[in-house]
Parts: sequence; C-alpha cells; structure tokens
Amino acid sequence: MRVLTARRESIAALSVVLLFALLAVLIGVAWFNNLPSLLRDISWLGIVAIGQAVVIISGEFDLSVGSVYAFVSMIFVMLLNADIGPLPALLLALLLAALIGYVNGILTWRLQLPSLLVTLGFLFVYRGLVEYVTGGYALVIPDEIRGSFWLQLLGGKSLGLHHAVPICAFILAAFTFVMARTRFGSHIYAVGGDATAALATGVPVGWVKIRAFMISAVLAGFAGIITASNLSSVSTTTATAMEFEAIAATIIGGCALLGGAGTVWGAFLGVATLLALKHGLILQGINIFAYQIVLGLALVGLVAIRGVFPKMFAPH
Amino acid sequence: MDLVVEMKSVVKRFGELRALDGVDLEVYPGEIHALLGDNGAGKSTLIKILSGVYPPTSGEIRVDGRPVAFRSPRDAADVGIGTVYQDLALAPLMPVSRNFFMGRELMKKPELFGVLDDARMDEIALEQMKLIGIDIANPRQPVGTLSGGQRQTLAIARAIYFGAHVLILDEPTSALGQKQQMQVLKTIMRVRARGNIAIIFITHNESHARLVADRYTFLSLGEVIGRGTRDDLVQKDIRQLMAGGAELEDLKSEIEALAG
Ligand SMILES: Nc1ncnc2c1ncn2[C@@H]1O[C@H](COP(=O)(O)OP(=O)(O)O)[C@@H](O)[C@H]1O
Ligand SMILES: [Mg+2]
Repeated sequence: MRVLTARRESIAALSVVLLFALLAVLIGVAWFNNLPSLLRDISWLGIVAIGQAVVIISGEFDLSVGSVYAFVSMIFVMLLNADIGPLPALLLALLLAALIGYVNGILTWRLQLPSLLVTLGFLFVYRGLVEYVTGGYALVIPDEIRGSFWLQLLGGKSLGLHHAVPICAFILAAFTFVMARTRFGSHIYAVGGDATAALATGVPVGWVKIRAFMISAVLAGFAGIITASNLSSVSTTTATAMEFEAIAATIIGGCALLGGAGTVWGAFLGVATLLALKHGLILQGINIFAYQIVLGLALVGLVAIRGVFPKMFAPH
Repeated sequence: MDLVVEMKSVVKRFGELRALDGVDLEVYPGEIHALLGDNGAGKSTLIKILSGVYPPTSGEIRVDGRPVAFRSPRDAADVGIGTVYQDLALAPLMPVSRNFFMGRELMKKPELFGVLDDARMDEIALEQMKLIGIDIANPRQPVGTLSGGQRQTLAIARAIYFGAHVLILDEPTSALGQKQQMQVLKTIMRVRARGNIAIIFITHNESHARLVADRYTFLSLGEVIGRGTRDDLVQKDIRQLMAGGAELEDLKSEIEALAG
C-alpha cells in the first residue's frame, strides 16, 4: 500500500509497468510490432497532457486543447498549401496557438469566469471552424513538400522511432525542470494551491495563469502540427474528445483536480497508461468502446478513492 | 520615546456603518501592543487601514514619525509594516521554504533564467524559524503537515525576514488549541526579545493580553474605551471593560430603536 501512496504519481507508474508487461505477455509479437505506433501516439497525447497538467496545477482547466490541436494543425496545413514554406508556416501556426491560449487566459482572469466554461466555449468555436473549413473531408499536405526538412524533422522516423518520441521526451524534460526548479514553476503551484495566498505575497496570479493557458495551447497546437506532418493530413474529426483523454491522463497521473499539486511527468505516465490500454484492447480485437468504459470507470474510481481516503494521499 | 505607529482620530465608514469612530492608536518601538475588544469592535478594520488594505474615511497615520497614505498593502510593506492575517497566506501543499519565499523567491545567477536557489531558501527559512523558536527538520515538508502553531511561526518569521519592524497579528491564537496557543505566545515573546520589532497583537482573549502585552488599547463599537500599560492592564478588571462595551452596545441599540 505504501508503494501506491508514496507519491502522487505512484499509481500511474505502477499501471504503466504492469500494463506493458501484461500486454506483452498476452499479445506477444503483435504487441512489440505495434510499439513504434504506440510510442508515437503516447508522444502526441503526452505533449498535450504536459500543457494540460500545467493548467490543472495552476487551478484551471483547458477543455479547448482537442479543438486547438485540430484548428492549429489545419491552419498549418493551409499555410503549407499557400506555399509560404514549412518553417514560416510552423512559426505562424505556433504564434496563433499562443494567441489562442492568451485569449483563454485573459478571459478567465480579467472577467473572473470559470475556465471550464471559457474553454468549453472555445472547444466548440475552434471545432466549428475546423468543420466549416474541412467540410467533412481531409485537408492534405501537398506531395512535393512532404519530404522537406522541417516536415521530416517533425513527422518523420529514424531507426524505427518516430521523431515525435524524442521531441516529446525533450518537452517533458524541459517542463519537468521548469515546474520543479524555476520561479515560474513555483508560482504555478502557488496560484493553484492558494490563489489568495499567492496574491497576498505578490505573485502575479493573473499573468501566471495566462502563461499556463498559453503553454497549454502552444503545446496542443504543436502536437497537432507534428501529427499533421506525420499523417500529411488533417480532418474534421482530428483529435475529437482529446481534451477528455488529456484531462483523464493528468488526473490519473496524480495532479490535484483543484490545482496546487502534481507533476507533468505524472500526467505523461497517465497518458502511457491510457494509450497502452487502448492499443492493447484494439490488438486483442476488443471493441474500442470497451476502452471508453474502462477509462471512465478507472477515472471515477481513482477520484473516488482519493476522495474517500484523503489521508492516504495527503502530503507526507 | 518616539512612536513607531501613531494613528489619530481614524474614522472608517462602510456605507451607513461607522466601523471606526475616531480611534487613536499609539505603538512604541519594540513593544507588544494588545488590541482588545469583542467581535465587531473594529479591530480588523483598524489594522487593515494600517496595512494598506483600505484607506481611512478620515484621520491621520504616522509611521516612524512620517505621515503616510497607503494605496495598497505593498505601500505599507515598503515602510516595514508586516501583517499576518488569520488565513496566514500559506499554500498547504507547498514546501515550507517555498512558502517562506512565495512571491519573493531567491534565484541563482543569472536571474534571467528564473532558476530557484532552493538550497539557500531552505537554509534561510530554517534559520529564521529557529530564531523565533520553531526547529523543523525538513524545509521541504509541505506546510499542510505543520501544526497550527508552527504555521503561525512560519508566517511571522516570513514577515520579519522581509523587513517588518511593525508586526501585526490578527487573532493569531483564536483558531488554535490550548497547547498551540501557548506556542504562539512564546513565539511572540521571542520576537519581542529581538528588541527592534513592535507587535500589534489582536485578541479577544484578555488572559493572553495579560501574559504578553506591554500596552493595550481596548475597542468597542468603533471607539476606544480604554487604554494603558501592562500595569494598568493587570490591575484593571478587563472583564468590566468587556461588560461596559456590552452595555454601551445595548444602550446604542436602544437609542437607535427609539430613533428608528
Ligand atoms: N468590508 C466591510 N464592509 C462592510 N462592513 C464591514 C466591513 N468590514 C467590517 N465591517 C463591519 O465593521 C464592524 C467592525 O468589524 P471588524 O473590524 O471586523 O471587527 P473585529 O475585527 O473587531 O471583530 C463590524 O460591524 C463589521 O460587520
Ligand atoms: Mg477581526
């Protein structure tokens, strides 16, 4: 028991190890053949979950990440089609993502609106725009630039490993450092832990939260961009319901629902848990709906256990 | 002896309500000044004015002899007024040293990168808490694991470290058990022993005031109904003042009812 409660991330860490071992034994060769695409999917959602974790630790929610993921990658593909070159397209799309995050943050802070509502609104806005532009079809990256340096760097594969994996690893390492060792990281924990205390001690609460939303939107948009670079297309249904997977992973990974505690690597372990389960069920030929049911039950169960035995999960 | 804080004829109205009706407060350097009175007497309002939370409707405030007009708590902090409110401004899930330096973190050079100097923050937080009597082993333990008295000490040590020479404590003992209350009173005496810090200690517990205060001001319904030194405090029956306050309240409401 002690092992499970020693850290907030323990349950997710243990789940990852057990699931990977169990599924490797159950599925055998097919599991190992599938590993590259599992790791790629973990990296894509992992990047989104890192941003979500920053927002949740700061005491807010970002429900718009799935739509931002699709919208920003759609703009990226449109810019590529407009032939402005991959690097300018990348930078412009990321700038747009930063702006989207800024708007989420400023509305939440200035108007003192619940971020759950603000970002729910934008979930519909950006999804609506994606549906409007794509019209139910897919938007594709022109053949002649698919092999270009930047698209290969973001979406390619080396030695059997999708580039998404080292990219995600780098982002994870960077944000683990930022959250644990920098003033900005400390402020994220402070505003999420006790916003009144943070305000009273001179922490710029609003600006900290706005930056958290910007990080979340930029990471979601960037994950969308590397996905589009890999698949060479964006469609109406790209990343639907991704926000819920990202939030579920973050909570499973030990972030406090109301902020103030947790880590980005915990959220990443939550992602690895969810996607190992998802891929395992698919490989076993089990209906994908089973994944949603298991995910839902695991989430409610975990939150319930934390609620019923708060002492067990209290800081030691 | 020069006064550190002098408040003169301070009035504060909240709409119709006169929360303070011409209050004087004189605080001497290095002394503990107890601010006594029942609930609703205006104690918190008075010290919120002194800590820059809101401006007085009228009246004068001097700190170290200089007239001041605070527009924010920052202004008050800048002239050395440190306030520890009941909620203490601590984040319970965060480590002790991170709470100690919350909003004023120490960073490694070059500061541009914003990398925290946790080793130094740990060291200073422990040392400062030890100076006023709390010896905790682990500066990284979450504040939520400290006792109520230890949390008070942390908040007090923080205020002093960041330059308070007037320390305002709003009912520091009221939410605590007997043993924790005594711990906080000891902390207050240790701060006093440092000699250079004046303490405004708000309480409605007369025995606490008796134990530690050098001087007292007694408020009732926004007015000063008694003041004096430790000796007066010991001789006079404070309970009588309390009763007087209650009587005054009755009288006032009777008059209001008649006028009503
Ligand atoms: N912000 C406020 N707005 C309106 N009335 C207030 C406000 N703050 C305090 N009061 C009123 O002023 C009176 C004095 O309150 P307070 O200073 O908190 O008393 P104490 O701290 O002595 O218990 C009370 O009647 C209280 O209801
Ligand atoms: Mg009060």
